[in-house]
Amino acid sequence: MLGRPEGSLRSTRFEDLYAAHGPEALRVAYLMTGDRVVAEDVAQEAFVRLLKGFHNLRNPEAFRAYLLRTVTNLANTHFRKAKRERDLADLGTELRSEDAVDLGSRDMLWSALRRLPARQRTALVLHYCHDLSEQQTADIMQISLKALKSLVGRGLAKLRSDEGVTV
Amino acid sequence: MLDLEDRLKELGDTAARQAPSELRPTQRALRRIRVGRAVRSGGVLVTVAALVVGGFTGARSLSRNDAAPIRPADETENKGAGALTYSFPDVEVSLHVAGPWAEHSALDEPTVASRIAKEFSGAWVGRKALVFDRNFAERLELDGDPMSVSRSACQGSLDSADPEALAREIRAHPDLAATAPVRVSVGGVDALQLDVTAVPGASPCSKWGPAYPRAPMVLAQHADMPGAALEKGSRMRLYLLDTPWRGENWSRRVFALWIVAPEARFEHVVEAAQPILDSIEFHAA
Repeated sequence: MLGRPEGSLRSTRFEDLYAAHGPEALRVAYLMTGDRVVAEDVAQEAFVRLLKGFHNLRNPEAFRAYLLRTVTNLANTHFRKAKRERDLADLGTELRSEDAVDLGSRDMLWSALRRLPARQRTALVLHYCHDLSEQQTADIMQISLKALKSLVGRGLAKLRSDEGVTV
Repeated sequence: MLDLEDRLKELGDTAARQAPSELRPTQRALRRIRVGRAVRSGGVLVTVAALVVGGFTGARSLSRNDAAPIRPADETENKGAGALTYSFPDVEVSLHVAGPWAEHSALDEPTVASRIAKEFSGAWVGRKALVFDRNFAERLELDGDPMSVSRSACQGSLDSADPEALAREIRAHPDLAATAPVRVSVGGVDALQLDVTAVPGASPCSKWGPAYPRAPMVLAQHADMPGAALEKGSRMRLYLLDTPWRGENWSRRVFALWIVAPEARFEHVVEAAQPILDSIEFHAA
């Protein structure tokens, strides 16, 4: 049976976190996947994964970083699975890919973005599209500031060299 | 014409307008959660958490259901070893567990683990641990991409990029005494094995809460997220694996696995953990 345990402080607090961070998780998931349905799945799965180990949280900032990291990791996992499905489909296997995009189909820049390696894409999405600072982005990706700047530089360079992106 | 950085920001604004404004309930998501938990349980351990996002009534709600009991593996129908799989960004770790080992997150309350967690001042998320005979003081834990812990700031550090460097930092930590690393193999993966204890008068990481008043941290999960704690009077057998599957989601090159138990029980618990270690398999995701 599913239901809210009455008087559960933990549930109440997790619900607060969900209310506070759910929309942001959705936005980042949507930016990463370009697909509303997939974005909802990714965001929900991220909360499920965090709930699995959730006990007592008093550090909302740590939660936000962990949530966004989980969202981006799940989105990148989706990319890998979608690519595998496409590869199998290319071999004649009848597999339906849920890789249709809302955002990407209308935006060449986003399409180019999704062709980047996962970590470059994540860095650009979090830093530029989601407007996080370099330090916040590095913290979420658990890399040094120097490594982040390198990823961002390489990502921008690849985008500039992409034939579909006119700058 | 806008430059590339501005276009990326504009793309973010567009996405913000187009993105769903809130998580809606979906039968598919719920079904997936249930299936996912069932698969994860491997027919041995029972799921403990269920989540409704949005709620079927249309009212936003987020709930968890702790009603399903945790059953140590020897109380299950299998009576024998059962499979567990832990997912990390670039690898899945499968292992077999038998009673009295049990997955800690599935234990009944109140447990030592939950009591510790309730006193915990930091985020405790994503912990993957097996607990021996329902006693959190005796446990086996796993973590991908761990960090060393600086004594001064009591924070995770990004400096240790491989098992050798991480072992050196642990051995150099003034609050820890560690044996020289020995090369071993875990699940077919090269690893360093070392035993770690806290030195008398070791400084606790008090910033991570009163649950660890006597516990220096050996590893961190994140810059501000505790990882491997070492309670006073306990010993840790730490395995630092050199990850051959290292992918783009790993900052470093380490997968850590550790067994913690009070000194008096250490050898017994390590021996009891050996079948689990022997069963470990890594599968690149």
